[in-house]
Amino acid sequence: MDLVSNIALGFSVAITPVNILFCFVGVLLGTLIGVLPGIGAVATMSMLLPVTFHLPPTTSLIMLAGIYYGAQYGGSTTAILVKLPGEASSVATVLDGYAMAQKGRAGAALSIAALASFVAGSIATLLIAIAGPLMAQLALRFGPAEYFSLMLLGLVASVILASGSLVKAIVMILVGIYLGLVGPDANSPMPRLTFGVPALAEGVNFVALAVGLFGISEIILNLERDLARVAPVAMRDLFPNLEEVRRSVGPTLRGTVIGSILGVLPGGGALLASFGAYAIEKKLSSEPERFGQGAIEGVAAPEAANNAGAQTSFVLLLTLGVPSNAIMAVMAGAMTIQGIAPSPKVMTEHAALFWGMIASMWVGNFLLVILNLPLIGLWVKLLQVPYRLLYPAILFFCCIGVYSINSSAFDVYLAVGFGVIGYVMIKLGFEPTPLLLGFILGPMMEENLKRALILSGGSIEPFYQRPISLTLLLMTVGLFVLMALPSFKRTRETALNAD
Amino acid sequence: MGRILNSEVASGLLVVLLGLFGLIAIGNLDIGVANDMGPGYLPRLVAWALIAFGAAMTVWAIFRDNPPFPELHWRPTLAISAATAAFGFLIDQMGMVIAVVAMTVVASLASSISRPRETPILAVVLAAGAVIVFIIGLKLAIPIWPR
Repeated sequence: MDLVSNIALGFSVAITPVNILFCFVGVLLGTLIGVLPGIGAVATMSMLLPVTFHLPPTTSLIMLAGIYYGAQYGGSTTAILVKLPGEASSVATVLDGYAMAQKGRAGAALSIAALASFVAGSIATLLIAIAGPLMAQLALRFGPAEYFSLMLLGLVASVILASGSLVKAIVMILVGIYLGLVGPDANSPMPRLTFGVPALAEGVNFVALAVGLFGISEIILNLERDLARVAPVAMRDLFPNLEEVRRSVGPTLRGTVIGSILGVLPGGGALLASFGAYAIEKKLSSEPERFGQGAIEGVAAPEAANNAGAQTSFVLLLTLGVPSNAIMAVMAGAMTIQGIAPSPKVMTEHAALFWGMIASMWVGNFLLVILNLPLIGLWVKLLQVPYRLLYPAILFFCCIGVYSINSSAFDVYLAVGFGVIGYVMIKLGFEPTPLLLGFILGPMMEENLKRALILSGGSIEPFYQRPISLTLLLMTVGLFVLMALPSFKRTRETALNAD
Repeated sequence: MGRILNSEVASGLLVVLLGLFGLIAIGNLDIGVANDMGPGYLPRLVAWALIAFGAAMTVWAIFRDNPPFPELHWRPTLAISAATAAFGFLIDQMGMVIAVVAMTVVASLASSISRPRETPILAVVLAAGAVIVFIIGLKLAIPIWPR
């Protein structure tokens, strides 16, 4: 097996000084925005897309990926210290992490979170290295029908993961698909759905959409509510005791497995992984009543799972070219900007990029451990920067990010429009994440649907006669059935609103 | 009567509106047939699905008790929108410094948490940082001063 040589290739790419530097910049930025309230990974990564123009492809993807898992790390720091999950995937950590902090074990919770993430990240890296080539083999059997079915499954799965109403999540996906269809049309030279606006001929700008929905609307939302801060819990010592380490081993390993599996699923990723791992740990525990009261298992499991899930969610994008969640949609955008079309060919034609990115995740996780444990004091200080000074700076990054991608004032106005619409829709209970996934997948689905139907002469037979496509469609149907079950509805509501 | 337009009825109507807007944008794009789809096929499907979902949501919501229409806060919405638009409007001709200062000043009107004394300092710091990082550092082709 070429596993060793592949990993060696990966590390030879990942540990060049430039790539280590940008991996460091990525995880540092990621931790920063994870700690700061009111700005998330999707918005940050989108804003930075124009900057990545100037970097080599591998370096830019390494940095963006670093932002993603760095943000999760920062998010759990605030979850533990101030009961504020910086990212959705650290919501599960709040429950026991903050309880531990109140009992004076904040340092232990933070170290265990860091170490569990690191262990999970290392194992997940290895799993991707093993699973990647297998997935790529599978990808060879993928025709348009399979791609269409896979993307459909991803969209339906993302509906389940959206908080709030299922119907509203479906609507957001449809809006996303529609927006994705604006602009170029594969079969005709005329741009469509543009109202004749030339700036839309190339389609709705992804950065304007993402920054509007996740950046600008978030600032408005934060300004209307009182961002009162909980004072950070004082930390005594950073080290967990032996008992805490012993209790964390099992949950970390189980969390890693659960996270890795849930991360690969379309629509999955870190969020689903952390809740799944927390729930299972609680079920398995001989003393479930300790959960929510400061059980170290309740920190180790979701932290391991969200990190493992974050990493394995790259698999679908890198092997099949299909982004499975909103973050991967941004990564797909970054790859496209660099002239690398996300497709199964990435692994063979850009082997150094593929393996370099995977190895960089391990490097990044390592950097996070050695970077963050000593720097926790600094992050705590940053938490106290008042929002009145922060929001103009965040707004500036939104503006420059959107403007610089095409040097286009129109894109900035577009972002304003999406920001306002996004604000109103979020207030009405529509969650923006599914929209972004629909936006990226919409045109890809249209293309594959068209191709599949042309190949079959208009018959829908290939969708249910080809085994892989049939399996994927059956899974999609299964999800719909699941959604309709009242007991599932209740579980989903408690899981997603567990704060 | 104000109870009729609760949050869910409003959501449904908004979705219908989005669908209609989508249909208008499509105009007379060719639909084609299923085995040779025109550029208008999928957009029409999606727009009609939005209208159908929106209509169903509205009807469903009318017969139920729902939370009232959420209170939208116009001050941050207008100020943040205006600040962003001002940046877009000014950056091409007036350059980075003026665009950033204008953005910061307008944005400071968004909320009572801003302190007027701090705004000029913040504007200068942001403008200087923007020039150093983005124009000198990253070499973006944006003028510093009005051209």
